[in-house]
Amino acid sequence: SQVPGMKEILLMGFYQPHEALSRFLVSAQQEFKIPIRYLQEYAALGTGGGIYHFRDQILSGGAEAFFVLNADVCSEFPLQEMLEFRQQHGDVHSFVILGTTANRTQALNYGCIVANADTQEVQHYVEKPSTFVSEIINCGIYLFTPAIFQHIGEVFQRNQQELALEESSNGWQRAEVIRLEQDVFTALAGSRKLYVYKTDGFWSQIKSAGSAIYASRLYLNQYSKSHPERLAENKPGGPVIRGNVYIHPTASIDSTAVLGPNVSIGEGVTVGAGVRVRESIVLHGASLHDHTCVLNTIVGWDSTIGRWARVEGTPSDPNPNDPYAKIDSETLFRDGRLTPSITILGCSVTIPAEVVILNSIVLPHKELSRSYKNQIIL
Amino acid sequence: VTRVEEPAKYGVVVCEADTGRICRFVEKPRVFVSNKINAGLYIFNPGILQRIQLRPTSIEKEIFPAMAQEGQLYAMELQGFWMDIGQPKDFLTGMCMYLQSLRAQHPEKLHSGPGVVGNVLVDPSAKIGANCVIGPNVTIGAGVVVEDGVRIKRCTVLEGACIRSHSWLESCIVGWSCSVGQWVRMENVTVLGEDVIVNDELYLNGANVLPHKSIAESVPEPRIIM
Repeated sequence: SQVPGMKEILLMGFYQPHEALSRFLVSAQQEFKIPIRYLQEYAALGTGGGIYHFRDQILSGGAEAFFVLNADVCSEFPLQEMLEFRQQHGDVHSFVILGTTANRTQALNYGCIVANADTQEVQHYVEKPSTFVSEIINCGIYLFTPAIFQHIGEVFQRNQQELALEESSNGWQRAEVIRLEQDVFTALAGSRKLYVYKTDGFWSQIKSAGSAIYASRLYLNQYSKSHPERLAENKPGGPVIRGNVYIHPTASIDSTAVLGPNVSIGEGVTVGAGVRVRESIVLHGASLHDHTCVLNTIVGWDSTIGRWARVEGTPSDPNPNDPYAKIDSETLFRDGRLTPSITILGCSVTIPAEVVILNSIVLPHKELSRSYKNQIIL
Repeated sequence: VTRVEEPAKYGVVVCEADTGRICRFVEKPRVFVSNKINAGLYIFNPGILQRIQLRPTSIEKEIFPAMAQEGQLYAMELQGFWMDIGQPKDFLTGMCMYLQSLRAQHPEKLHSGPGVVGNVLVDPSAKIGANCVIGPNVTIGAGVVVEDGVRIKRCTVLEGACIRSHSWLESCIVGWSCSVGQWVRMENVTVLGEDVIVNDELYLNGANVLPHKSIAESVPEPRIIM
């Protein structure tokens, strides 16, 4: 909303709209003073199909350009810089992809971009190659003009023609499934229409639930530089704060609790006496009773953790010694066992007193009666 | 001798019912022979010394069988509690039995007060902080410091140890002069040798830690740290 000239925000997804989403839209609109709408895809249409399907909505109001941001990334979102870059390097009809640097091994997991060193024009694009192409990877953040729909439309026509050859009832729907990366960018590379803006700012994929903890650390770190007043401070009579900690104003925290580093406490949360929270996210309405220890965990809305309980997960952070290392998306199971990961408590979970919950995922509304380790609790 | 539920783990004694004279010993019998085992308490006539040569000797394996044959050995059944406390797990069980007998015979020696549950024995020189819940079945040695908000169940805490605040201990043996950090969770017969330091916020499950070690990482599954 701070980008000048930003007129509207559209959220696009395959999820059914529900109350939490509506409330979020209302409060976001009030806070940022910009129209925000949710458009629901009728089927999962791939990374390009959704925006093509809703192209009229996007262009209504005469937009001269628009940003597309994948919701599963965390970033500094240098939108203003992308606009300026386009003015300098391309022309008003160019498209810009935000890129960042990865290490040689991990780059293969992303879209790889080869760019002209002077003009930053994208000469070659490959999505998840099996051999090394480039360390510059696609961040999933784009700046387009209405002209993009022409290129996506060509893919749609091609799909329709291919599927017309098959006899199937959902051919038309399948034609609308369009992958921006494989279908559109690969074709646009080398055509002097696509450019890459490289950023060194923080960026990470958020593919697994546990990655939210790593992303939270990046954002809290950003706040400590750009908006330090949002973070909690050590005050006499208040809890002990170590490192970057966010506490919602309506949360109530006992003065003997020790929070941080990398902790986010949501709305209306209660934290009892002698509680230790580190590298965790506590969502709104949750209650942590006295002497609990919560490490590397996401505590779901309205959950309760009983006295002296220990709820702990295992972080999967990228190698801290490699500046370009990215978070791995680990498989859920390895050698027949659950890979140790961030512990997640679903909404309204009750953890009894004095137990230990280690590397486990607890589905919503469960009331546990004993300790669990390395388990998914249904 | 004492009566046990699982005699096959021990050396079994076969004796005459009315006189108590021992007929023979059977070491760890595979089939049931008797449920009375050697409790390890003996009273001897000084004459027994004539039977022992000046070399390493096992009295149970070498001396007793000969004496039994000669009808010189008698068994008395022990009343009250008995436990072989060679293993840490059994030591804790034995501790519970001892505290239970103390409750029956000398209840005034046991500790009581806010935050004390069940049978708890605390040395007068030990200090226990606020908002702790200690017990059941806990023994706390001389000069031990237990800080605020600590929960201890079924443990032995030896002399000079310090348990820092908000920690949770169950079925553990904490050695002399140990320091257990804040928000530590120890369970499942974790044994700390003398002068072991456990850092804050760790989880020890069945860790057996040799003396003078420093523990900086959690031990989620039982193992020996040396």
